[in-house]
Amino acid sequence: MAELTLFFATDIHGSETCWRKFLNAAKVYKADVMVLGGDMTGKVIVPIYTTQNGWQATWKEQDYNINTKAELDELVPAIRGPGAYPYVTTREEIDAVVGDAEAEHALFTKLKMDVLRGWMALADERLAGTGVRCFVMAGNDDPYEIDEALGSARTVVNTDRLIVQLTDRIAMLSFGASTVTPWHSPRELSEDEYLRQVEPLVGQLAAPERAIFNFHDPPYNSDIDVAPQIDDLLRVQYRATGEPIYAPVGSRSVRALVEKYQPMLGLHGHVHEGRGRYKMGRTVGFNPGSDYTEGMLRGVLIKLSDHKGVREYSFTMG
Amino acid sequence: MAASSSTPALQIWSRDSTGLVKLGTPYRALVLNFANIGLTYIMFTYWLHPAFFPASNLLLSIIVAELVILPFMFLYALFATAMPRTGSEYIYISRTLHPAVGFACSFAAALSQSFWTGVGGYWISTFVLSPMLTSFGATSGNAALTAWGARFAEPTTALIIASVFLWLMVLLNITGLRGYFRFQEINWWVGIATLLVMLGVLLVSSRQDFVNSFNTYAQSAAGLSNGYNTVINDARAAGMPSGITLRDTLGIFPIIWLVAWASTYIGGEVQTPRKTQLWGTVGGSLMYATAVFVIAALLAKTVGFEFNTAASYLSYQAAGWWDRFADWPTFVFWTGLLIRNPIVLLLVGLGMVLWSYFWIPSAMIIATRAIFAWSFDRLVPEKLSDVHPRFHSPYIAVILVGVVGQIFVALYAFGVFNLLLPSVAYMIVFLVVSLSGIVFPYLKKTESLYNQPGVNTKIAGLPVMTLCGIAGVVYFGIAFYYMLTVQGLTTAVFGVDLRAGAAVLALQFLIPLALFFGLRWWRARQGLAVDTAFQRLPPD
Repeated sequence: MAELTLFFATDIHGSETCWRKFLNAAKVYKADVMVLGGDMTGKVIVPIYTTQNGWQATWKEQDYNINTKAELDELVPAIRGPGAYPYVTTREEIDAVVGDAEAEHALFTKLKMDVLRGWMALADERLAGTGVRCFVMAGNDDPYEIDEALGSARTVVNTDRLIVQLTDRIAMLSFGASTVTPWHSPRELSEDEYLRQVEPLVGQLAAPERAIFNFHDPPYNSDIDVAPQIDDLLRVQYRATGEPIYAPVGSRSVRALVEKYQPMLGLHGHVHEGRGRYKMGRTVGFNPGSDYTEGMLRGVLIKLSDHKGVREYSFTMG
Repeated sequence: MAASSSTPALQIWSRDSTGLVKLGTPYRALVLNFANIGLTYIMFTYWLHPAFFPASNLLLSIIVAELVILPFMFLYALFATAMPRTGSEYIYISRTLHPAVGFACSFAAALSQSFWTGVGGYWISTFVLSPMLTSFGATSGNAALTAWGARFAEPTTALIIASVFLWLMVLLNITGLRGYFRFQEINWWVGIATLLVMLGVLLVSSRQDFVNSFNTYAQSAAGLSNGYNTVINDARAAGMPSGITLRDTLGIFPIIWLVAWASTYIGGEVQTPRKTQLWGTVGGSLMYATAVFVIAALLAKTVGFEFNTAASYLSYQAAGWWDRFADWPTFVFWTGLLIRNPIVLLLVGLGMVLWSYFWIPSAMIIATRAIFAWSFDRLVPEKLSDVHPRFHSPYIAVILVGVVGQIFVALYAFGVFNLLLPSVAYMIVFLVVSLSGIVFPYLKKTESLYNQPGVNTKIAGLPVMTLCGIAGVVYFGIAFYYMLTVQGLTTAVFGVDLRAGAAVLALQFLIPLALFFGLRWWRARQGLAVDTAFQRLPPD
């Protein structure tokens, strides 16, 4: 009977610290299979302006006046750690970029690609010869351009929309896009379109009940999809007592697929606040949540058996 | 590299990334923390402090307590900035000291919260319903109301009331959070209105109004003539000291509750975590202290500190003297004496019940969230984090908290309560948080968390976190010392002398420690070590 230990993390959003921790997790947790469930790129650029005396930047509510290269070399990784992109530039360049959607997208894409290529090279360096299988994919927040960078490593498989055999009996189907969000992120599908695209993939599984659904989007109303409710201006709604109002934001299509095919395991992300597990019939599903902003890699370590499915699990906060 | 506060440079946020919202604004954090301190507990400040530490001035004591606690609240804000995620002290202690210590503290805190879910309703009966009805019945000459008031002070009645409140809340929690939050919002607004009415009553009433009301009450309830002056004179005769001493001024530390930290349980993508948490913790504590101060000032004006101190002193330091009255000398009771209009009294009474009830579901939520976290970390059975398929509530955890709360309140009601000292347990937890703050800047394992902008600031070469931790040790060290040494202080609130209950208090922390290490051994044999959940991954 084949058994394996799978480590799953997700939504690291450009965090250099989280990626490095992810690569180290296989050894520390003694995992055979590593899965990163989407949303690999960051959300913010931190311009570092050249000035007459050196550089100037604002990071985490503080302004920095940098005088030496050594100080700059200290600040850059501090910004990269939690997922922001430091960018040495001039005020003129930034003035030209801000407000121009295409120019902003181009700059973000460039920085994301540079970082991801570096990540893939690091993965090859760390994972080569270890026997660890590593799967990653883009999530709804990641632009399509990054697929090229994700395909550049020898030890990492971009598993989006693919079925991979983990053991003779256990297969994993991955799907990184999400259903529609208020932010109109790059990889979004309507609920109907989502079903239309995923159902044929599920149809290719030899035995869906022994499969892992590695779907970035969590099932609707599954308790791992609870996020703060927002208004049309993307402002969080609160109760009079100061508590944010939470609401389920998962996908009805994912729920329908899980309920219909009853895979042995569901791996999900997308909702950072939704750390937890669900049971839906025979399916057990997890969302480890995400705390990438502080460089913490939240994950879940799962022991799987060919015949018994999920035997044991433990949420981690590495 | 110099950090300055000059014109901020620009940051560019992606237009199409999910989750970029302003979560937890400073104002919201402030309201959240203020609302979650609760009002029922506030009465002990005006009652137990003068009862056990009469050589003091309440107004001065409140200011001193707030000044000493503020650095500790700042420490929470710094921790929440360094680790802006849900979990608060469970996470801070686990990451800084050891997961077992974090679990022990979380376990002790959750037990304390479970205690309050039961005893909160008991106190509503004895400290809210009873004085309101008794005082109005006595001053209006309505014997039936007085009798009902006395009945609500009886242990059996109070236990029934507490049980009804407790299981109603269990039901509300099980059937879903939507109803729970709606209920809490009603409580909040009614509570604010009630507090304002009570403050208004105290503000517009004169000292003479109060003297007359109390004299009428004392005459009808106990046959005591000139009751106001008799209370003062008898307290002096019983040994009530005058003047102000440092010891008695600091005596407010174990009694007043100035810790505002609910916002540290809500982390996530806050764009300005430091500012938000500062408003929540430091601002929330200041706001609450201001409310406590204003009530104290109004009590000084209308009731008179000398009388309030004398009544409080007699209720605890002169055996049997206060037994002639059905109710304890709380500010709720004093305010009830001043309300002449039965409709206003009814509204205030209802408001006080609802406002006090705010506390019980909050305590239940904190306890169930803790159980959830332990279950995810596999420290307690997985079943405890099961969610109801229809209501999506953690029904097993909620029922467990309800059962524990019911057991505690039954033991409390029948005077055999000797299992738990909730506030003292929290003092120990806060002491451990303070110790974590002291060492946080110096540990290798927390180095990367400490070396963040806004966290690693120093004063005279010493980390601000360390200094704030020291202030916390001073505050809670003094509070704990008083709890341990002042005869009858813990008995007054919890029905057990701390010295007699010290062993049980220790067990509150030792049992989870034993559980942690036992589980670690057992689960390691199963193949997934408990430590895995807390193990830090190398970041390079």
